Amino acid sequence: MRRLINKKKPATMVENMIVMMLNMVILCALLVIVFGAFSGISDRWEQRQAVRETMLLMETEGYLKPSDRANLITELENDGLSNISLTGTTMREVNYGDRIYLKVTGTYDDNVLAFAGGISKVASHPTTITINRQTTAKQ
Amino acid sequence: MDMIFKKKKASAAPGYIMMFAVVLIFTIVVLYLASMARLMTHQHHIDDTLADSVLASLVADDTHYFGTDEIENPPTVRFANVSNSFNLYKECMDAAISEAPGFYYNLKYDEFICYEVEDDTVKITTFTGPGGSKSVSTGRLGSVKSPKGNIVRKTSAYARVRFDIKNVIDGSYITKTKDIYCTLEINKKEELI
Repeated sequence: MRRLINKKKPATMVENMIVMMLNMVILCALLVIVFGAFSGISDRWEQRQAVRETMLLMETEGYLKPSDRANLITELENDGLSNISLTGTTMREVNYGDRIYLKVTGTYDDNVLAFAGGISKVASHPTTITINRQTTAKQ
Repeated sequence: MDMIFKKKKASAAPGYIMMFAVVLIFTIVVLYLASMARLMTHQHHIDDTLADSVLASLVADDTHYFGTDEIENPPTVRFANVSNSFNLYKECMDAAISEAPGFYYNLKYDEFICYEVEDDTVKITTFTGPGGSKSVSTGRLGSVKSPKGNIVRKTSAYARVRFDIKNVIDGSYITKTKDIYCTLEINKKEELI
């Protein structure tokens, strides 16, 4: 009887540890998903802001200047966008009041494991992002 | 023998309960944060879109402006074409909204008002509804207020949209309105330099 009781005691500790470890693993997985999802929202928000700022610059210039174009591409790349195309964007100066367009397409990797280096390839999820804006020239 | 079973039952149970409780609480917190983040994104997106669209619609009659600049001080700023401004506003809104599917439902253009100030008179052109039924009235400078409460002293525009957002809990729709009031300015060439 005494032997049996003594035998069971270490087993319960192991059981508790397994439960706690399982708990930790689930929490870590949830944290990874949460951080990944929020980083995706943040990136997209910053991409939109970069496009908006450029649109306001275009409004005062009447077109997308080459220097603004280069800045926009750099900012979008920093926000995780690749294969950026500005096809359809107004690249030549127009008259006051005429319509101007800023059309951005690119690929964004919606990856919740983006920070995890090599492992991130498992969760790779490239998405095509399209941002179309239009306004009128006010130069 | 009874003691063995008693010990086993008591030992791991709190661990399981803790695990499920923590995971449940964490999931609820995460869902709440995610819905808050989504709502805030909606808020910023519609604010920016509305501001950009109204700014795009503010196209002045530059010929008239520079013509009156020589005989009046300050010169008269008026819209190049108010109907065209309303169309510009709608098209810019449509373009920006279309890039955010699943954000807004049943978007309606409630009201778009152009205020044109000339001397002591304010000409008010109102477009209501999605078709933009037009009505024109006049008021005295200083006595005209925008629906937002701003006293109209300069040529300006006011816009209001109505849309539904989806409730994350039960999927029902919640109706929201957003409005903005912007003034029309022309930068003189010498000011730009």
